[in-house]
Amino acid sequence: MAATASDADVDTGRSNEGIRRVRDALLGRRLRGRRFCEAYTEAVDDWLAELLTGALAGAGRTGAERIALIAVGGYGRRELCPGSDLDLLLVHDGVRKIGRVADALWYPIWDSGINMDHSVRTPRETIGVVKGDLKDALGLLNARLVAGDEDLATETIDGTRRAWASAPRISLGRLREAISERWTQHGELAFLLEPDVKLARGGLRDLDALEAMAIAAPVVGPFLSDARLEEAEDSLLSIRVALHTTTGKRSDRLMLEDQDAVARRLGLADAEELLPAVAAAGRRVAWAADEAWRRVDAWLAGPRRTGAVRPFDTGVAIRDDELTFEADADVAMDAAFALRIAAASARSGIPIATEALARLESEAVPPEEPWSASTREALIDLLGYGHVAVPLFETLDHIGVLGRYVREWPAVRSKPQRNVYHRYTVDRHLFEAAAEAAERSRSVHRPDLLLVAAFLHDIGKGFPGDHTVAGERLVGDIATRMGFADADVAILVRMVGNHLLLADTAMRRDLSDPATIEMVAERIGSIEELELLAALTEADSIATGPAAWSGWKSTLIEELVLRVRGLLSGEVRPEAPPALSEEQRSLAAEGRLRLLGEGSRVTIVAPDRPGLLATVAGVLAAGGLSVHAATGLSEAGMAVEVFDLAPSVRGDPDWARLEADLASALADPPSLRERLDRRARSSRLPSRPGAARVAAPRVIFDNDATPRATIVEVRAPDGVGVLSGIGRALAACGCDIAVVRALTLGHEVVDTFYVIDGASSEKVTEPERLGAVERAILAELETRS
Amino acid sequence: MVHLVTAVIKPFKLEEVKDALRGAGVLGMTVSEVQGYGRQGGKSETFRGGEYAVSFVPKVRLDIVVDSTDVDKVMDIVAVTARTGKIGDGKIWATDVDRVVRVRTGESGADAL
Repeated sequence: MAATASDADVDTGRSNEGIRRVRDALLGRRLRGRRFCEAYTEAVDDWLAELLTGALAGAGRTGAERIALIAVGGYGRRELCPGSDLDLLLVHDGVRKIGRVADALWYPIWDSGINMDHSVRTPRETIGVVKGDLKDALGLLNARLVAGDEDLATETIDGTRRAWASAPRISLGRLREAISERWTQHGELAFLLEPDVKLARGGLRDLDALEAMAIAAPVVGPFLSDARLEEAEDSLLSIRVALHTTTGKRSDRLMLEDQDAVARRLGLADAEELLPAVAAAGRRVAWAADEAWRRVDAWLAGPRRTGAVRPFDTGVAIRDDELTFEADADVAMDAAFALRIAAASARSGIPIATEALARLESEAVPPEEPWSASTREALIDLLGYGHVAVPLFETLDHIGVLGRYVREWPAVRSKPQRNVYHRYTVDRHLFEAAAEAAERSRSVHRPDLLLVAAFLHDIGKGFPGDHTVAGERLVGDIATRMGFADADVAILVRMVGNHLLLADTAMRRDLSDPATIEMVAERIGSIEELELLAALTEADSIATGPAAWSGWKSTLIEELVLRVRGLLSGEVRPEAPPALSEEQRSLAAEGRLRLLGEGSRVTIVAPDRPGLLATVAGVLAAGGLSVHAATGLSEAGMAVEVFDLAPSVRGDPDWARLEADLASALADPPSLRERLDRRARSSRLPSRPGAARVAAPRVIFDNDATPRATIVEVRAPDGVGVLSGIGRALAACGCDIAVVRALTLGHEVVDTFYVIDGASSEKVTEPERLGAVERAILAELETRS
Repeated sequence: MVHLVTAVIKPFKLEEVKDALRGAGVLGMTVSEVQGYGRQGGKSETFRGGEYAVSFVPKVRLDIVVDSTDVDKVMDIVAVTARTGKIGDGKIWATDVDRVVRVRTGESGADAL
């Protein structure tokens, strides 16, 4: 080899080891990140240009006609790091003796000790590669002329890009498959103890993939011109350069033993400062990749870029398969807007338009404190969508909006938890825990408290001291600002303070010792809170990672919960019966139909009759009003029903018209039903793969909680006229509704009815009768979904 | 000679047993989370009105390789420390071990402990 090398040796003006000295000199100047890469790339370009001139001369050619040396891959992008390979392509147009030129070019590079990946091809062969090996194809998309025939290089480079873009479905399909394989193999940059800054999900390779996507799918292009994405790329490049310099090797894996040294090279104190930077950049890139794929999917799925706008939710519309704001929506006026458009996206699986995100970023305002009920409900709504909501919370945080709702949030953002238990950074763990909690929301009486507690339970990790103690204080503040009632704030504080109690006790205390059970029962206080805490514990453990949850642990915790429940069940506290306010009572005394609307609340007073609730709720639904919460009471033959409506950008509803509608619907119920069915059909969207999963409805009876009535609790997916349908089913079964409480939690409704038999005014206890009620309710709901 | 002492104990006793063994100079053990049942056949007990049955009970299993001269001492320590006096305290047994090799150095027998 030495003989060949000296044959090919040419006067490059520097010896072949020289390029390494140039590299070391650049490192000696302490150039960081991109500045190093560009300076090094330039030096290598010059060196290779000289090598090519020499090689051509050695082969007896005077010019570089029909021969071009092309840089591909990372070198093509001018991102050469100290340990990077040189990816080179020598393109020629059927030149004879091209082998001599190639030898004269490659040998000096080998001798320099720098690793090289090389090929010699005609333009046609090169373009053919795009359809072959994907890695080669991706490298070619970054191709750039180093030296030689410009026309030949342009022909080759443009040809490969055209070949890639000409069959986007195939190109993107192959790319996606390769990416998901790589992600599975290398894990996620932000969440690993020893991540690979190039290959992990969120690493540099994903940025290359985004560029490749943009060539095949123009819809990705605008999304890439994001200063924060460039910042993330610079940050990852700096880390990679520092890593190669520290280890003197090509590996891109940030091993524990090198992390402190890499940090210091970047001017940071130690790994504790480095890792949040790695995590922040990795999450930014991973999020961008997810968003880009969502856009690609929508782009591939539909050619329907007509610009037509279709209203979807309050202030939210669909345009070209993306969610955007309605023209007259004032983003700065309504603090719940960001949460609401995110929830709309979770519900429908339709991505939020980039320009809508930009508007939220610049215009969304922090909510006034305490939050309005509609803002609080919008948050609970979004949390209720479970795993589908996780990327949307990530989105809200990436555009800086989440911190406007919870100002403590930046303290846990991308905060690594480097231990064997935790799979995620603190903030992502909180999103995941809330998603797990949403899956368990049907096992507790207050899903809203469960969701918020899961969402905030580790917020204390961003602050000094024991995180449960800090968390109690913070959650007390945050929940108060969110406008929760004092009693609910107290429950949230206790839940956060006790969130490790069940797991710790189950693992470390003797569960057959009554003192253990008494201690836990005393700290928890009630069965309702025990249920909440049990669901929170499970959600938290599962979200933590596989090491924190197993059938083994769950059995221990279940046993503890069962024993504590046994102790607490002796202490059921009777619930105070709801009663009319003075004002409502005086209205009821008028003895006729009245409808009073004020803001988003409407009170209806009417002579009670079977099916009244169904009719009233139906009139509201048919009028396009969405009921968020409802309470109803019946006293002395008069029913008083109060509905809280979802906010509307179209101003207050026309109350007089509603009252007239209600009067005519009471006179002719079938006409109302027709209107409702029409509306339910037209509001239905085709189901999409990314949309929130809808669980089957559930009906629960409780005849023990109160002596006065049978409690019928219905959990069902939200939809047009759900409350009305349930009311109708109950009326058809001969049940009178004494009290109703309806709540919308995310895409779920939780409707609770206190019913008595219409004829006997007694509880409904016979199993056959309860079975009939359940079937009637499920049948009504079936027609709505 | 070398013996393998295996103990199946209640999970909450693990820390105590570990500390006691370390105090007696036992430097290594393998701990696993296991489920099983013994003479009580899973359990079915009534606790303040709530009856429940669990077919497998969560336990912790310790595997400790010791020199034969230490077997009795180690079994005693585990037995005393893990005892609550109630059903389900667990079992301890010892078995002969033919060969032991320390992976790093290739040492065998008691030297490998």
